[in-house]
Amino acid sequence: MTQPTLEDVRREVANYLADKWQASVAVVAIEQIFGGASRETYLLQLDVDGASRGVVLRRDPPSSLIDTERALEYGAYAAIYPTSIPVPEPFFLENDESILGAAFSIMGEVANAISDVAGLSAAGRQRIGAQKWRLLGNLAAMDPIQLGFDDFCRVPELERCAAEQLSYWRSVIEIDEIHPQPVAAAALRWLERNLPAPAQKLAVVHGDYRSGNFLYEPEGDITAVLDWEMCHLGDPMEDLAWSLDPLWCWGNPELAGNLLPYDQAIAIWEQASGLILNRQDFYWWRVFAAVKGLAIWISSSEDFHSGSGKQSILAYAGWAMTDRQNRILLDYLSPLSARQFGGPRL
Amino acid sequence: MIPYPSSGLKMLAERVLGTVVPALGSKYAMSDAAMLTMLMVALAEEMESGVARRLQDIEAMNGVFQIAREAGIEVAPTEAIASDQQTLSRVNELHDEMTVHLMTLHARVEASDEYRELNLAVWRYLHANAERHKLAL
Repeated sequence: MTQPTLEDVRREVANYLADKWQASVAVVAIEQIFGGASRETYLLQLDVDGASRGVVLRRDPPSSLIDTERALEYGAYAAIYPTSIPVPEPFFLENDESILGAAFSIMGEVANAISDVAGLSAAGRQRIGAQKWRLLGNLAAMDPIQLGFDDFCRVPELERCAAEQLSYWRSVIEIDEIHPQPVAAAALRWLERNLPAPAQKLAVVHGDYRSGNFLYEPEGDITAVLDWEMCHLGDPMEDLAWSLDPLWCWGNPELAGNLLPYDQAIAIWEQASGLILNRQDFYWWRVFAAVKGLAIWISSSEDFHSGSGKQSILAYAGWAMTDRQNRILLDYLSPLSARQFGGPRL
Repeated sequence: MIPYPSSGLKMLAERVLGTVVPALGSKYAMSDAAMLTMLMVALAEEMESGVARRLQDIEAMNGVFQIAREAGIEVAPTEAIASDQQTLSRVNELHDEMTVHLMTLHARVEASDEYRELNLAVWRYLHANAERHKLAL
C-alpha cells in the first residue's frame, strides 16, 4: 500500500485496534485534518465494544515540513503524559509499514477543543496566553533526565546547546536551499559571531511551541500541547524565543502568539520556570528562532520542488512563510531596520 | 491563444474557489483547494511581473557591485541577458549567480569600518528586494 484511501485507513485501523485491545472495534467516522504538515493526521470516532471513543492517527507522509523521528515524538508524548503538561494519551507506535504503507502512531482524541486563537476575546487571550507561557515555564523547570528523555534524546552539554542547534539548522539551509539566501547567510554569520552563554539548565525543548500547536476548550483551559516531533534537550530559552517569533502574531504585532504583550509573556514564563532571562543571550535565541523558521520553510520549498511532497501547505510555507521570515530577520539584523519587531540595536 | 495568462489564471482560481470548493465533501479537501487557489493567484502575479522584478534586482545588484569596484573590491563579472532571451528561468539563473556574488561581498564588508557605506548599500538592496517580492498571501 502506498497512499491509503480513507476507506483503507478505516478498515486497517479497526482491525489493528481490535487486535491490540482484544475488543470489537468499528470506525464510525473518519476525517483527515488539514495543516498537520509533519504527519498525515486523521481523527477517527470508534465504537469499542459498544462504547464511543475518539482517537487520532498520525501517519508518516512521503515528505513533510520537518524531517522528524516518529519514535522521538511518541517517546515525548509518553514521557510528558504523566506530568502536569497536558498531552493526548499515547496508545500505540507502529513501525510495521505493511499495515498503512508507512509507520504510524495512535493517540487519544482531545475532545471539544480547538487550536485557532484568532477568535478569542480579549479576556480569552489573557486567559489562554497566561496558561500557554505558564505551561512552557513549567516544562522548562522540569528535569528531563528524571522524565526519562535521555532514553531517546541525545543529552548535550550546557555549553554546546546553542552551537549544536545552530549547526543543525545551518546544514538544513545549506542542503535544501533552491536559491541563494542572502538574509539567512547574514543571520548565520551573526549567530556564529555572537554565540550566547551556556544554558542555565538543561530542559526539554518542545521545538515548535506556538499558537496553533495546543488545544483549548473555548471557555476553559489548554487541554493538550501537540506536535512534539521536533522536541530535544537543550536551552529552555530556545522554546521561549520560538513562541515569541513575530511570525506567530498573525497580523497582531503587539501580541506574542496573538495572545499577550511580549513582556507579559516573558514575565509569566520567568515566574513559572524560576529562570531569569539574560536579555542579550535571549536576543540571540530570537534571531536563531527566525533562522530555524527560515530553514523549515526553505526545506518545505525544496520538498515541493523536488516532488517528494505535493501538499499545498509545503508550497505555501516555502513561499509565503519564507517571505515573511526574511523580513523578520531583516528587521532584527539590518542597520537600516525600523525595529518593527523589537530587539536591541546591535 | 490566451493573451493575458495571469488574469486567466486568476479567473480560474476564482472559479475553483467559488464553485468547486463549496461542492467538496470533506473539510480537508476544502482547505486544501482553498490554499491551492490562493497559490494560483500568487503565481498569476509572479507570471505577470516576476521577470520585471528580477531585472530590477539585477540592476540594483549591479549598482552595489559598482560601488564595490570603486572601493577597490573585485566582483566577478556577469553576462547580461539579451532582451529577447529574458525568460523567467534565464533571468532566475542570472539572479542567483549575482546573489551569490552579493553574499560573498556582504561577508567581506559587513564587519569592516572601512566599507561601512558598502555594507549599508548591501542591506539597502536586501530591504528593497524584500519589498519588491513581498507577497500578499
